[in-house]
Amino acid sequence: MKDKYRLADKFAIIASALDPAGADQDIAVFTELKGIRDAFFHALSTNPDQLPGETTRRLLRKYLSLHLTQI
Amino acid sequence: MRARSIELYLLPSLTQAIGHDQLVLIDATGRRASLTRAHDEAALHIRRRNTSGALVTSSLVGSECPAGQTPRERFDTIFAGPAGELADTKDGMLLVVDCEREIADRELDHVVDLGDFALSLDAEAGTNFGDMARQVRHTALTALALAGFEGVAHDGKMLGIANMMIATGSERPTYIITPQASFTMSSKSSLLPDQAIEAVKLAHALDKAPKNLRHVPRLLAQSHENRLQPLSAFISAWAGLEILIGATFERYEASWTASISSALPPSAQNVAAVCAQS
Repeated sequence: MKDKYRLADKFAIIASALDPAGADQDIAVFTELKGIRDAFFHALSTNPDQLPGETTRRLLRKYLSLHLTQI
Repeated sequence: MRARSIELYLLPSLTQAIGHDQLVLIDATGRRASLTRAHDEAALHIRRRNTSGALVTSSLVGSECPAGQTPRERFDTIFAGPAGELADTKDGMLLVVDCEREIADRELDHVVDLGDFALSLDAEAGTNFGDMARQVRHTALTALALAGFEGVAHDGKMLGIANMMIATGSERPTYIITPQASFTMSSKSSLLPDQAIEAVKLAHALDKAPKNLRHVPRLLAQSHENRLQPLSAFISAWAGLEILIGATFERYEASWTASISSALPPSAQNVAAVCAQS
């Protein structure tokens, strides 16, 4: 069955596999980012100037780097 | 014939790769990226291309060759002047991106013969270079960023791009005149030996990664370049994160399912197996 996991579920599984010690904290950060993303795109309720680009980049860099060390 | 593109990119904030005169980040068929303190061949191509641009510009604005001067002599005069010089590269390392590929033979339009090389204003030829060099540059810079150079790798200065066509069986380049871009920089640091090794590994992994994952370095670089525009920066980074998750999830799902199953009592394992297949 396709898409039986939500995006946040997929991230949680990836984070748990790549950084078991830091996964809880990163999952919380991801959940917050996803909430901000959804609020902005669905309700336009976030100030665009306050979108957390650096936090998102940091998470992306971390898991891209961790994944690349696995392949 | 071959289409070759050389980019020379100065990383002022990366002063050295300790223990390496040259650090090859990517070395694959048709594409190569390396960090170095000096690269005479690339510098020569960039200087020739920049001089060609100045020569063409001076012609377009009506500057005439001094009496009796051939186009090559005019070229050499400009080449020896400020327009033929590269920006100061004493501080920082150079990233050299060198890509080439075979393309169908074709006659170039608007060619100026300058002896051991030529230049062309053929607009159609410019489309033969695609975005491979840009992708290789993003891959190399992202690998450096992931190895510990956040910001530094994306804040370099483009010294020049030399796009050229080379006829089969020849080494004589015809430079294609194309636009250029430049960036600014921030703080300085050195590339430690462990980071250099890490950067090479990451660049290799990125270069060999599945095609969908290769969009991620571009989006990461785009986000960083647009960091002063919060909306663009966030959208690029988020898109990169979603692509990363989508492209890699399958790999980790299997191990997660297995670890969950092994933790269940035997009576529940069959149920879990059925659920996993549904």
